[in-house]
Amino acid sequence: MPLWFLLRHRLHAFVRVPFLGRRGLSLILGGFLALYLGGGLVLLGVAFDDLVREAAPGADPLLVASRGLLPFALAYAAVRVFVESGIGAELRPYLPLPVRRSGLVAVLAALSLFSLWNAVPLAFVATVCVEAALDGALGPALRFGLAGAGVLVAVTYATPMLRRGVSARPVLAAVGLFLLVASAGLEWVNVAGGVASLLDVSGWLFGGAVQGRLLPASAAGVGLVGIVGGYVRWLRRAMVVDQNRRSRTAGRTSDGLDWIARRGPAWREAVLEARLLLRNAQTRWTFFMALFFVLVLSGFAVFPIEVADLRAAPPLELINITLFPGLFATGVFAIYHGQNLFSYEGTGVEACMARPVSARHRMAGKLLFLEGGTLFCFLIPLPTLLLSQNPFLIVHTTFFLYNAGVVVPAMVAGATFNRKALAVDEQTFMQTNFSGGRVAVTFPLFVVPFLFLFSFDRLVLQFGGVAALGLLSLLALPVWLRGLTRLYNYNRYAMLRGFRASGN
Amino acid sequence: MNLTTDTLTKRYDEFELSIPDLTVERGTALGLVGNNGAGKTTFLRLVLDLIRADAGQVRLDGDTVADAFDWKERTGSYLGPSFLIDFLTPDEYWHFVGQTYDLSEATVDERLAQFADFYVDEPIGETTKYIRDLSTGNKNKAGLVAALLPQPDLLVFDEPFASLDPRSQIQLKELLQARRGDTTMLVSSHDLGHVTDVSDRIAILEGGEIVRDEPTDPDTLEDLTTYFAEAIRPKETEPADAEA
Repeated sequence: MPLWFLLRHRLHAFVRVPFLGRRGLSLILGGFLALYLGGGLVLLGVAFDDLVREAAPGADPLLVASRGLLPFALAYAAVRVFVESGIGAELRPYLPLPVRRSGLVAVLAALSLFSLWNAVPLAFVATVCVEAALDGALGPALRFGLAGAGVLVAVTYATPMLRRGVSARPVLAAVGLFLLVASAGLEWVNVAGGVASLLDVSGWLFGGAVQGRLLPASAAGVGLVGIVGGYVRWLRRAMVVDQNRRSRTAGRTSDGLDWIARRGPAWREAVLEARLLLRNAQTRWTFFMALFFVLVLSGFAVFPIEVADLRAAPPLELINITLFPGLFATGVFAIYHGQNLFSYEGTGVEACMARPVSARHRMAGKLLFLEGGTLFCFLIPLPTLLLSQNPFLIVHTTFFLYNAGVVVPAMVAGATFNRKALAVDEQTFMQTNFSGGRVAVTFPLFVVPFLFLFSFDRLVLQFGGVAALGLLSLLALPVWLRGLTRLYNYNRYAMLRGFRASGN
Repeated sequence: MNLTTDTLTKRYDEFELSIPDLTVERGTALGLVGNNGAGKTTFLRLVLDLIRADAGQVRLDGDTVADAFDWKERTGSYLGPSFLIDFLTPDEYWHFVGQTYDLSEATVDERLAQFADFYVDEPIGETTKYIRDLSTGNKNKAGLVAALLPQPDLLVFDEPFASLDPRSQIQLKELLQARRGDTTMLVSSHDLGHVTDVSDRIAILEGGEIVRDEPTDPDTLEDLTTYFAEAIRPKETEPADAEA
């Protein structure tokens, strides 16, 4: 079967879904965001050579940009591992057919490159190339373009392999990453020296390739071929559907969870969600995310922060040192897992809806589960913050209340707009679940803390306001629950229809 | 449980399921047969309120299924693997289902013991495997046991005999026959012999409509076989056409 037949078929699969309008809207929203970011990067690219000549007269802009390629690749891969939920297409229906695996792998590898994650940074690379070419350096400009594109290809292919590796060992990965961050924070390693070395390596590797030197160009080429080859081998292995692989934890039921489940129907639903989280590779990823942020936050107890530092910090700096770590340390669990609620049940959603479990108990169970996770994230670093009497405790508590009271119910509400089932077993390695409805419900809530920080100049109003909002919302959870139940009943048929069409 | 439909209609593009007036009395077993795409599963999903009707309703003991909840506590159903929670072991799944029906652990264990013969050579009740790692047949068994566990007033099964080994098919038939008279049953199956044996009535669905609805008798299997066989024979030509 020619490659283009498969590609055309995937296009048909994309448009023949029951909620094409919503998917189109999601694409448009994502497209606008990409255009916005891409446009900014194009402007930066246009001004890049002038900025370089001003900062370092005589320096070659292409070589300066080349020095940043390797650090960019590492940082971008780390971001995509955390943020990106999947790439490519579902090719399992083709596996039993007389289609060459090499063809399927080629389709997946090709499709994964067509992503806004690549298009946006490519805008910068392309602009810098064009500027350099217009200045008369056509050869180096083309070589820089190839190097930039190669870096994006390598990151695209490395990301899912890294994510799969981390989800298989979430605790180990979280602790390892925490040790890395802690080492940097405690100056056990020379971060500045390390970054400088990285820039030098990047300059030699990619700068040499831009200059046309054989050894660096060959090394870069070999590296790229290695990553592509590794990705292809990994894909081929993942396409072997082995139903007999047993999880190490198969069958180990927890008496503690059983005890909790017997507390009532809502607790039973919450325990079911906990078992789903613990027994599936895709959802164990949430553990890694939550643990990582929580452990990083624990590191804040080591850094001496005074209340005066918080008072004196300008709004942007205040946001960086408080809002992001505060919001995501206690909120990452609810945000990351909450966005895929119901979708994770996709394969068995009829099982949930046909049983005598009321919508109210279902939603109460989801709320209990996410609140429990949020509380877990709050409690883990609490002893460290209390013992060190670190003022960051104020931020930590503020955003715990906000996440518990506002973000958790909002994530549950947004999840009722999910229309795509996600397979959670370890055989699945490619899935995305962008929902315009969910984003519309949840995105404004991440803006609210910004408003408090920018609108007031006193800490007690900035953080007190956010905390008070969270506490009030927490106290109003019974009202939230009524609304969530109505929202679930309103959306349940559409959810079922979308999940059936997803075919997972 | 008494089941009635009232101008029940569901439309999908070029297909329309229309069951204007169907009544299944309490304790009656209705067998649903029909070709692929006739609307059997769609009808069962409408009964279980898994899809929304475009017109009309399904009522159980007078309550519209889309508006009421209590009927779920007296209904057991299994339409396929989508009814399973595949990250639980079979035993966990059955106990979980029992809890949703407010059955005590002791009651669940006592009732599960009645099904021990159903899977005697494949002890899925004792396995530590998750449901997703079971064979298709054993998955179906786990779902069927879960549906029968609460001893419901209404049983809804879609292709219950599919993927079961011959002995298990016979055992399931016996289990369902034992419930005739006490439990209202809707059983959809392509196995004409089995569905005839377990049903008091047979309804044939074709193109979204019930074209025949008759009580079963000793000739029902032969009638059904003849009915479906005639669909694949070429139509006999009229004498006038033959002369032309």
